[in-house]
Amino acid sequence: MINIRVLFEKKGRAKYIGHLDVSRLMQRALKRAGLPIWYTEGYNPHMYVAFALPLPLGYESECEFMDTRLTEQMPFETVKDALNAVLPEGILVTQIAEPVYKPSDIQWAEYVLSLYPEGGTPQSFLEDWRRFLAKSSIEVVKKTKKGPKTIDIRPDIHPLAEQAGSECLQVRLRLPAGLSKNISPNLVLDSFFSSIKGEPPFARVTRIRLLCDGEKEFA
Amino acid sequence: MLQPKLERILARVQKPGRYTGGELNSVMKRKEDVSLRFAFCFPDTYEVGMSHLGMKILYSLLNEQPDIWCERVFAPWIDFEAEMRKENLPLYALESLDPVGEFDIVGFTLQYELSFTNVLNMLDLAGIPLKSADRSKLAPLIVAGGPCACNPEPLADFVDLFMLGDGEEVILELCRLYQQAKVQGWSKQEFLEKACHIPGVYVPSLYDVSYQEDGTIQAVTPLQGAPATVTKRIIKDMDSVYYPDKFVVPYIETVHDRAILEVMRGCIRGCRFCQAGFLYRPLREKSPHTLCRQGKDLCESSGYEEISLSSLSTSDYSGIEPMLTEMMAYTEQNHINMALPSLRIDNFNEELMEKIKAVRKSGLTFAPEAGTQRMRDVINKNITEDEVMKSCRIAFEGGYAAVKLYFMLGLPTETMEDVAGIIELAQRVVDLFYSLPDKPKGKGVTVTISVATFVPKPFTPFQWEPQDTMETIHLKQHHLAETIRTKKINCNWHEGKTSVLEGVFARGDRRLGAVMEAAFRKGCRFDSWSETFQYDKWMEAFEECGVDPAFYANRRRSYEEILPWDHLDYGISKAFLIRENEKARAAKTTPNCRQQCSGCGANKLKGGPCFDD
Repeated sequence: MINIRVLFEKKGRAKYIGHLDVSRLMQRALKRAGLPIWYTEGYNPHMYVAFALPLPLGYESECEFMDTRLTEQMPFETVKDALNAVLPEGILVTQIAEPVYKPSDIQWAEYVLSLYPEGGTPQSFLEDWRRFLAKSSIEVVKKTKKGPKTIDIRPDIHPLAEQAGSECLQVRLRLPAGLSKNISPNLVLDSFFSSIKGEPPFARVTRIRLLCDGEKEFA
Repeated sequence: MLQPKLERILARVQKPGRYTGGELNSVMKRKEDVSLRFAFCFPDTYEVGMSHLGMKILYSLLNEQPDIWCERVFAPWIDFEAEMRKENLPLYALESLDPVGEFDIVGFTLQYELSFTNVLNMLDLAGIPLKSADRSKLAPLIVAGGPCACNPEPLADFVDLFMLGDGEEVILELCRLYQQAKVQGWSKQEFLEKACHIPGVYVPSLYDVSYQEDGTIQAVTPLQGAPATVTKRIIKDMDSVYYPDKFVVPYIETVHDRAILEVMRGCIRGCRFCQAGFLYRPLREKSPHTLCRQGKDLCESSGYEEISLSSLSTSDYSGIEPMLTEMMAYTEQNHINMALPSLRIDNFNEELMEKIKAVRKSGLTFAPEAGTQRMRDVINKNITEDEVMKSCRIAFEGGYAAVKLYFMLGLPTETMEDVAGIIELAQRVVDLFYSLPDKPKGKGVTVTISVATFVPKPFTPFQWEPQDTMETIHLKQHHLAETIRTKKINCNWHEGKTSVLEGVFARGDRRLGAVMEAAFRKGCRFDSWSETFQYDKWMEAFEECGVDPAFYANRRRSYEEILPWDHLDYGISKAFLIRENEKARAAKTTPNCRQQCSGCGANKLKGGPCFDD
């Protein structure tokens, strides 16, 4: 049995497919592709597939992954082509790889946020954004299993780049991601929007990279 | 890519995947390449509509034609509707995302009466005038089909034409005539006067309905040479009829998301309450071989992990054993489940159960429909209590500890003894479980009884019968609850208000169009959803229009009365329905079609006897 990691993009209309639905979609694609997928043994055999770090509904991503197992060795390019031939619009396999790190090794995720102002301009938005980041603490209420908890997320926001274009403000961020600590861009966006006047802007979010400890690329 | 306006709206609604399209196997064409655009509308949510087989068949069939592009449209849920109205976003089709108002033909499938207001709401959201008379141009032509087209009169003001019976042939004939009309520049009226001569096409505006003083119909008069009766269409050969080899595979979870095989059309049973059992006559089966090929094609193109068999009574399919044997060889090898709904009690046996058990471990469901033998004879269910007990015993001995039993309340001639009989039967099933030495060890039994409210429907022997009033139904439900003596029996029913409305529209006439429009203007839609059903608004609408719902729901009709659907012919003769109604009153049963032909008349559609031997 051969462990493989399927790295894929989720873009366009596919961003409206929820996490569980992506799992079902991928299993059906594996079936349609006719790949020799390993099934669990036991009373109710099912395909072995594993996903981690659910992407919030409405986000795009360039760095999704699924771990699965083949029953026989195959060239990775063949697996990739077979899957891409049967995947729907918006889902594209970029690489098949041997898993190096475990999903639990993921520490950080990087995102691009595109913020379209309602009124105002991307330039004025950029000033708002800088003012927001200049705060010494940003307290948000996070839902946890033990109930709502107030946390300061400012130390966790690592801005990487910012650019005011003609239509929108684009910012790149690194945020903690993974099992031990996970900060969703929604938390950042919600507290940013509540710090500015007027209607909340329309936001597009794309997850672009997953990093392990020591800034090593997960994939 | 989606338009920015739509994208912004999608960020604010529940389940945006309902509104985005782009699913696997959805058909994209260029509008320049086709001469007819068909918007196939299902007047309920995406999740409900995407589970419907008829839409899948006709969608694929139309798209097989290079010069036709058929797209899907569903009713937006109330949150999305509010956004659409606020942002002036017209109803659009899921493939091109183009507004429905730009299509040539807008077709609705009418699966249940309580979806009628959604038809009006969808027209309104598309910016299309509701009334046929207010639409003078040929496009968009509003058409409808499906089981509720058997009495389309409540929708006669809004829909330009209805297609009766099986749609596979008539829909193409209609499209071809439309293409000709487009090329030759016919007016809408010219088109309708020609279309009414396509067999199975009913153009309500070409029939004048007059009423007597007591409110019953005086006459239905065809105009402009329209045929006096319109006969439904049937597909004679199920093995050669078109069937899709691909289904659009939804992203989001829908009610049924699996490969569906249509084993047969029609039913041999003749249960007197069941409209489908009469509407889809005569029985036509597919061969096991055809089914296995179609199942394999569908699984390979979709990646589905489950195949379900669809028919009115799957265990009556004459090829069930060879079909399951051949099919399971494929499904087991490919990790695919087989689902077998609609099994009857009287031919449920150990062998069939072993096949079911191989794929499903949850409970089993049977439908005795009524609690006493007299009542089951009235409805011609043709099963005995011994058969119910035998099936439950087989299930219990096979390891099942839960059974579900379906019943109906409010059947004609029903007494309180018949109502109590439902619980007494369930109690005997509980007692049976504990009397068995081979019962599943360490488990308690659960008998769930689900009690629906009976609604008399056109083209059934009960089409003349009064429906129980809501008060009577409530009394009967109360009596059910009082009769239960054990926690082993779970009893479910729902409130009777939707059944009242269903009953009114099922046997309604054209005068209900005004009521429907008034209710829609008051905000009624999604009437089959408890969270959106507004009974009080409906009652206001009846009041304002001076229409008494009891006239339609609770009145006994005489055999002589002209019924609103009498000019439509579903193959079943009125003489047969009268015979069956008389037998029901005498609690006499009728054998099934394989045992003996009862002369319903439907074989004339086939042009010969239903069975060779």
